[in-house]
Amino acid sequence: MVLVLVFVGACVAGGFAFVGLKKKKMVNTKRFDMARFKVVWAAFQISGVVDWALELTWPEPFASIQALISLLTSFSLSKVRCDASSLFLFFALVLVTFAV
Amino acid sequence: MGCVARYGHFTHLLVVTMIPLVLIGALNLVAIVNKGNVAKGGSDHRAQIFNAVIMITFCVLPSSSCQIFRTFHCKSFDENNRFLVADLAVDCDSGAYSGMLSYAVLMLVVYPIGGPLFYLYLLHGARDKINPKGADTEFDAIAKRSMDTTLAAIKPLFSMYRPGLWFFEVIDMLRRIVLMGVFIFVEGQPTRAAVGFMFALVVAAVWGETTPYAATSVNSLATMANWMVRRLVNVLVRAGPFLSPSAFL
Repeated sequence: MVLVLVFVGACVAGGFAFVGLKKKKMVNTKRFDMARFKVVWAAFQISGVVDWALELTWPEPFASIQALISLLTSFSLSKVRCDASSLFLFFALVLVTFAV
Repeated sequence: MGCVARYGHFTHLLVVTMIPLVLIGALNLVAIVNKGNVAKGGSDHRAQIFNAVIMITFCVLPSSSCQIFRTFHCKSFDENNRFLVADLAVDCDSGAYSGMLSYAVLMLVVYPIGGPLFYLYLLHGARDKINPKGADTEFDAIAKRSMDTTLAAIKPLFSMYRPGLWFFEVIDMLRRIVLMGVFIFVEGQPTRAAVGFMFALVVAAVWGETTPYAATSVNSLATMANWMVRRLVNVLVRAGPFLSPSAFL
């Protein structure tokens, strides 16, 4: 119940923030291409669950990346482990590598 | 979430199926309020509100369907007991599971069956406006339908597709639902992987050949995305637990 309220609250707050930014012309919605968004979202959503659908397992580090994709596109909280240190370590390594 | 409190499959199923319905219900209330304002001379935002409803269904329908399908996926680990693969704490022969199953059947009608049917109903009703008969070329048809204000409410369902393929959003939604959850009903892991791979291959070929999107750049992006999915399935099969990766080297 708390999660539902937090999610609905976050959506409402996000909506107000978006409308506010649009009024201040800080967001240009004309540049946002809905068709491209839909294609990319669908591809990521499928990638996020395809391992489960085929009952196969990804090797690391892709398993962690896929857990994150699944969390973002399918709201799959069950894939997030309590000890997420390996995931954060991986992303920290990726960021540092790109920064260097 | 399981670190804070027990967050089993049933809780997750409730979250992913109820939140979209609550949001859609809230948007309906906003639309009713807006209808009252329109009668008093206010501006009409009902088309935008309906666009938001369509976008919510677009984003959540396959993932919610996936969680619904997971409720039907039980596995026997010995001769007497069957457990839910998505949550091994759930005994598939228990009373609690029967309740969960009844809810999943209800949601099966609402999400993976009702969702695409609702899309088809909306699109079929407006097919002559989406694909106007009098248009000489495809470009003319797109120009005509984009000027039709009566189509504003369902614009996200067809605007990206070519006029002749007015139903393609339904096909795309079914593709996503199948790729994300239907394969669990195929018996045997290697068969499931093979069927998944073949389906991804067929989808990539069909999308590549029909070029359903009105913009060429979106067609290229979709072809790339479909081949990416097919490649992911291919890699997954190769790295899967039933095959040694070295067998393909």
